[in-house]
Order: sequence, then C-alpha cells, then structure tokens
Amino acid sequence: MRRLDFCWALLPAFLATPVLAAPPLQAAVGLTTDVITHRSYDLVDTNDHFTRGFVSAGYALRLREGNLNLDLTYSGGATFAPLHLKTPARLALQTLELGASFHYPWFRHLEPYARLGAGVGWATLELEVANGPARQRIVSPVGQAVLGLAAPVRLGQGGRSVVFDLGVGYALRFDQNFDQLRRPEPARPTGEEISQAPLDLGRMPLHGLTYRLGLALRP
Amino acid sequence: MKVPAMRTPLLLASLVLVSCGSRGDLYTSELKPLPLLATSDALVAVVPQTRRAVIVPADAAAVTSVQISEGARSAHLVPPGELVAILAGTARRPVLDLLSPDERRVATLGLPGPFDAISFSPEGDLAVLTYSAAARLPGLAARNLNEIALLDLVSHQVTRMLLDTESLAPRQVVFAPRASARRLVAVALDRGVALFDARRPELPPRRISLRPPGSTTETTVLEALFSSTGRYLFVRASGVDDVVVVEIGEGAAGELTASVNFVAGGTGLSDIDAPASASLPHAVFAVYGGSKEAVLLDARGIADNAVRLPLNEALTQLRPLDGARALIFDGKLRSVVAWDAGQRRSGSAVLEAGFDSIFLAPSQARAVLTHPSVGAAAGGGAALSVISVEDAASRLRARVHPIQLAAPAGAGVLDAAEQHLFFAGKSDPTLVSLDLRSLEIRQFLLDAPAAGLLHLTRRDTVAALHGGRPDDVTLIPAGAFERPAAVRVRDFLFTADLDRPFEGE
Repeated sequence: MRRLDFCWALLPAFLATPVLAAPPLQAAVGLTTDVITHRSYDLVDTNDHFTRGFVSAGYALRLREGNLNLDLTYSGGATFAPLHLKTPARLALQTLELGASFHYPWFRHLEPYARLGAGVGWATLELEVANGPARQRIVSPVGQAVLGLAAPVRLGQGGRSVVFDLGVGYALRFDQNFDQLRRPEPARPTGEEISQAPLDLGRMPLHGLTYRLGLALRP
Repeated sequence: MKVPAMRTPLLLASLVLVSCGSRGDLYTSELKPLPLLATSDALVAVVPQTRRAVIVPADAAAVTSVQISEGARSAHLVPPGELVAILAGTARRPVLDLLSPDERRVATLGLPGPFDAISFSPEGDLAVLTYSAAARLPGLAARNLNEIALLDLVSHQVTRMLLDTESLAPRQVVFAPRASARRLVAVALDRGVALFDARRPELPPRRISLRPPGSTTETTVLEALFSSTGRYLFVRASGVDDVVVVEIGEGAAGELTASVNFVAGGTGLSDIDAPASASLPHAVFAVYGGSKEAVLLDARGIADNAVRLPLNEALTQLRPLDGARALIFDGKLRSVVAWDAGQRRSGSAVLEAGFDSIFLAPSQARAVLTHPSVGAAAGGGAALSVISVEDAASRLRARVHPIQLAAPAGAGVLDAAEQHLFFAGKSDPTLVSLDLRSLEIRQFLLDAPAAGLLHLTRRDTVAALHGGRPDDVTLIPAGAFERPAAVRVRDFLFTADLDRPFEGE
C-alpha cells in the first residue's frame, strides 16, 4: 500500500478520537512597562515608564510539580516628548524573545512563577527635524528576568482556563549608542548630492525594573 | 510564607515602580546658542542651556561637544583663531572659559568681576575685560564700571585694575603693536582715555583728559588707535575736527607720561587710520568730509610735513593698503580714490552706483564693493566692482572691474590669503568664489540659501550658515568646489545631548 493511501485510511480514525489529548499551547496578550530612571531617557519621555504591548505564544510542559512554559513573545511600543520645546523626539522599542517560565501550582487559583527571556531588540530613535526625520535603529540582545503571580480561572468544564498574570522583574539591555542619526537619503541619488553628517546624540541606557500585566488562554 | 528579609527590597522596588518619575529639566529649555564662531579649523557653537560647546571640525568627521561653565553670556574668538573665550559664571562667581577646539579642553579662570566685554591684542597674548554700562546681570546689585581685568593669555594670570576715572564704562580698548618695547593698552571712555603698560599693571593707569583748546568740558572718544611704534595714540573725538595726538613717554620712575597735541587738518573729520608702512612712525591718515580732503598728518604737529589730497566728493572713510597707500570711499557716493601719500600719487574711479558693503584685501591691493543695483546703462540689477590699485606711468590707477550678478550679494568672506572672495546670494542658494587676481568665477549650488559665511583657514574651508536654524551649515572645501566634496551638518546643537552631566556636576 502506498504511503498516501495509508494516511487517508487513518483519517477517519483520527477524527473519531475524542479530544482528550489537545496540544498544550497557550496564547497571551498584555502590557509590559519598563521603568528607566536614567536621566538621558527624559529626552524621549515625560516620565520614566515605557509601556509596550506584547503577544505571546507558548507551549506548556507538565512536570511532576508545576508547569514549564516555553514561549515566543513579541513586544512593541513607542514614546515621545518635545526636545528643547521645539523638536519631537520619539523612541520605539520592539523585542522578540524566547522565554521559559516555571509555574508552581501553590493554590488552585494562585501560581507563583519565574520567567527568563532572551532575544533580540530593535531600538529606533527619531528626531522630527526639517527634511527629516533623523533616525537610527539599533539591533541588540535583550533579556528579561521576572517573578510573578499567575491566577488561572477555569472556563466551564472543557479544561481551558484564563490566566491573569502580574510580574515584576528586570529588563536587561545594553546601552544604546545613538551616534548615527541620519535623514532619509534621496530616493534616486544622482551622485551630485551634498553628503549629510550624522548626528551623534550619545548613549541611552534602557535597562531597568520592569512589570507586566498579562492575560493568557491556557488549554 | 514569611519573608521578613525581603521586606526592604520589595518596598524599595514598589516605591521605584510607583513613584518614578516626572521628566527632569535637562531637555525642557529652548536652546538659544550664542553666535557661531569660526576658529582656524572648526566651528564652535556655545549653548548656555546645555552647558556645552559644540565643535564642528572643518571636515565634519567627528562633531563633538565639551562641557563649559554655567551661565555662558558671550563667546569671543581669540586671535589668531585657535582659542575661544567664553564669559560665563554667575554674579557671585564669574569665570572665563578658554576653550581649545583642537584639544577639546577647557581652562576655567576666575574673574574679579562679571565683565561684559573682552578685547584682545592682535597677537592674542593679552586681553582686557571691561563692563558695559547698558548690560545688566541678574543677581548683581552694584558694580564699579571703572574696574577692568588684564588677562595674560599665556600664563592665565588675571590682574584686577582700577581706571579711577569719572567716566562710565569703557567704550573701546586698543593695544599698541607688540613691536614696541612696552605693551601699552589704551582704554577709551566717554570722557578721555586711560593708558597703562600691561607689563607693569601694578602702576596706576595714566588718565588723559581731552579738552579742546578753549573748552572746559571733556569730549567723547569716537575712535582711538596706536601708531606702528606705539609712541603715539591717535584719537578722533566728538565735535573736534583736530586729530588728538597723545605722545606717550616714560617718567623717571617708569610711570607713563602723556603729552596731548591737537593737530589740525581740515573740517568735518570723519575717519583716521595709521599707515601700514613702518617707515612712517609719526604719521596718521585723516579724512575730512567737510573740507573734502584726505591728509597724511605729522603727529608732531609739523604742518609742512602734512601731505594733502583734495577730493572731488565728500568721501568719509579710509582704509590703509600696503606701504603709504590708502583707499578712500563713501558708501553713498560713487567715487573711489586710491592714494599713495608717500609718492604723492593718486587715482580715482567712478562706480556705476553706490555700494552697501566693501571687502578689502590690502595684501592684494584689491577691494570688492557690492552694489544692490546699478543703473540701466550698466544693465541694471546687482553687481560687484573689483577695485585694483595699480601703478601707472605718473599716477596711481584705480581700475574698476565690473562683475554682473543675477541677484544682490548677501554675506561674504575673504580667505586668509585674501586671494578669494566667497559670497552668497541673498535669497538664492548659490555660493560664488571670485579670484581677486584672475577674476575667475566658480559657482556652487547649495541645498538652501546661506545667511552667513565663515572661513576656516587651516583647511581652506567655507562654512555656509543657513538661516532659520542656528545649527545648519554646509562645509565646502575651497579647493574642491563641488557638491560631492561638501558636507552638510545639521542639528549639531543636540550633539551628545544624551551624555550631559547631572545637575550639580
């Protein structure tokens, strides 16, 4: 019997199997806020809290005690402030992280957890100037360590639950060296352009305490 | 679970999360930089609000910034163009920052008072700081306008001096040429002049009252300058047609002595200047608009030694060329006269129209005059007149070389060798280079009109300052007058804005 005929023969058996062994996938959305207290951050924000939204897809491994969740998380957000009253300055941060969190089922509706994440981040600084904006994007490694509490609430009898999540931790990023802000180049260069000198704004540390509020759907 | 040991860190973390923080004031003040300065190899922008001096090198390779003292009020270029002096500080702690753009280093000197103005010797080794009667500094309740400070720019020594006159703050400070044995400094006031030797500041200044013959009231100094040897101080005073000549001597104890002589020449004295020639140590040029003449006066008052040149028009300004030559002109009139007082020759030229600016190149015996518009017979529109002073058989010739312009000329600057004049159109983005010898013209198309021009001598670079923003310049190498060789530097006032010090540092 050929392989394809064999697969088609198995299909009715698969459809008839009760859904008792659904894959342990979960999805989450939420907000994460970094508290960046370095004074250079005042260039792009009117307070020290940089809030970003995140979406996450994870896979839960059941251990003897607790769950180990592996997740892929994307976060993004932006902030801006008027620089010296005249020039809007905007900072956008995006991250893509692989994370692992261990949930310990302490009570039925309370699970302390610890999460570690590592990935890559994009930091884009823009100044709204004439014939601009002057912009620089920096790609660098990022990391995060969070301790938190998760509160699962079961939805009906199907076994699925909604998990409310509150975590506090630290966001790890290298200092971002914004020393090459440039305006956009002409779409069709002719070779007769006057070259533009880059703008060196300096270094901005973007690490600091972080806290997150999330909502996950767990199978 | 009991976690008493974690109580404090948790509390701190909570406080940080909840209470951080409103925006500080590092980035909340509008930037108002001081006027841009050009040293020999860099542009320097002093930004008092960020306590920074931004340095843009001639090749724009690396724009950097240096921290300066707080409260910068004015910035000045120190001759010959390697240092920038910044008057800064507060009323209680006034300071002078000496910035070296090459070394990215600032030397801060304490001052005895919050002075408003600084004057430098042409060699750049001495400076005198004075007050301005009109200036007001917050936090300052009173000040003695006769107080000055003498600064030795080599040793950085600051000496407080008191002019002890009845005048208000000084109007002008002039330095005798360094070739003289003494380092004489003359401070012109609204009533008279104060003289002192910078090598002996401990001696009190010599006060000189200027009372015209037959008058009991002192007159105001309009202009003062030293002779080439420093032996004489020439003064043009208000309401006086005579050139006031102060002969400076030395007493037995080394103190300065002064003998005042009023040297008559004509009526309506409008300008004086010293000849460039070292062979005329006793002479001074004077122009008289009333009697329409230019005179080379003898400072000793010997009338027979005076050389006179009658003028057809009431020209009022004079600029020395090399030797005993001078150019005489007036912006509202159409004639220009070249005069060699030593050989008693002259020549005149008639312009197509009056002019609104003049660029003088004494080493090239050239001058360039800009005309906003010329007559219809000359084609109308704007123009330049390049005046060349040339020797003819028995006279001096002032030749006019007309250059037609598409639009009135705006800002202009000569290079260090006085061989090229760079000027920009007032409202069009064109930069023009004019060779004063060959009259060759080169054009450069900027991306925006230039409101000002500066020249960086070391690498022969022209800086075009674009209006609208104080931090928008295009740097053009004069030797490669092409767009791909130029660099535009913008928004450089924000340089290192992220690296600024914390307050109090």
